[in-house]
Amino acid sequence: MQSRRCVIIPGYNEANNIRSVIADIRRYHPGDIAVIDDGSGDATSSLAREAGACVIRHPFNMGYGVALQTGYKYAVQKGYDTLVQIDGDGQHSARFIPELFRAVEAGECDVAIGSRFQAAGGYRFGPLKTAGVCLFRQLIRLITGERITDPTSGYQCLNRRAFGFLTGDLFPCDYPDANVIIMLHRAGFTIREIPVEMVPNREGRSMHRGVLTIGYYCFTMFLSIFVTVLRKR
Amino acid sequence: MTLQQKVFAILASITIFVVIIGLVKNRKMKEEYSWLWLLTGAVMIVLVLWYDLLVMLTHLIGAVQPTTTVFLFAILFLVCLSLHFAIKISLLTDRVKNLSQKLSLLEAEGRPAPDPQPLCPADAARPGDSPRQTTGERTEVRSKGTTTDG
Repeated sequence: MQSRRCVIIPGYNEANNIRSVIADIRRYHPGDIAVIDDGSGDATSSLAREAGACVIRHPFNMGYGVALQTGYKYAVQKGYDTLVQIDGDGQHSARFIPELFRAVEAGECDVAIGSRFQAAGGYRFGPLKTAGVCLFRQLIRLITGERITDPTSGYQCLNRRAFGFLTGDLFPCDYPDANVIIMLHRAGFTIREIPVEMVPNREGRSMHRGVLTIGYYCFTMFLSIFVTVLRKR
Repeated sequence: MTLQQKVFAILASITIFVVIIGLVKNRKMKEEYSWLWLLTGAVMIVLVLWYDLLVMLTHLIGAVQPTTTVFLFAILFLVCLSLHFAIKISLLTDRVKNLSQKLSLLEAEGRPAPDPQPLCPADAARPGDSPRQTTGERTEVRSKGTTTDG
């Protein structure tokens, strides 16, 4: 029996991209698409609805992590078996969606992470972000023993057990990156990376931009990982 | 401690008591938040009336002047108060998040929502849906991007 699949797109002020992102996804995924509009002030919701997606709209802006968790809660409520999360800014190429679904549905893993660094041609960050990625890679390896090359990838596929687990109160809504990978691993979920292609954000927007933001990100991430490790398995 | 100091401290404590009780009475402060303030007022009165206790506390913590002890405990009180509020704010933030998510999901389910348009294309064709109110209002508390580095 075909498993019930869904693609969730957390988005904030993505009116310029959302239509093309949904159209791109449609080419590789005929099933349900849900856009979680994180309190956008532009036409993200109406454009997504016109493009044929279900829209879950936050009453106000709460951040990427909360939007992502709303998507997980939606998937639990609707009874989906697997979901792919993809960014609403067009950074992720939708042609890897079938491969991500396949890896999870074949039982190879509970969570498949799209890694831009494993793709042919790789991906280049600035020196500060490269240092950050290397640091969190090593930290994940030290704590879990897993070799994860792209700990900040938001292009993932999860099975019902995994996204159900992430609807709980322990989900770190500030920045769900390396800390979630460690949390999932400690909870017994299997994680695998799939090579995917990504392009930099066309408008140059990013959650991890500016020295202060990156500093705050690192502090929050270290604290989150530290308390995750302190918690009982 | 001079009589003048005693009178001032007792008056300050009584003022705290009266203001806090008044706020609780008028439902402007919950009982839950009032106890720390009332406790402070009570401790101030006890220390004023029982000066030897303040001197004993001063020796106990290794301070020289009783005024140091008073200031130290005042700062500790403020730290406790800030901590108490930080815990409460974290709890409330979590509740607001969960409620907002619940509301968004209920809207997506097709329950009455402050939006004139259907949430899903499929909902448009569904008969029996009551027309939704239009408010067009949106409260933007703060702007958090929903764009990752990948």
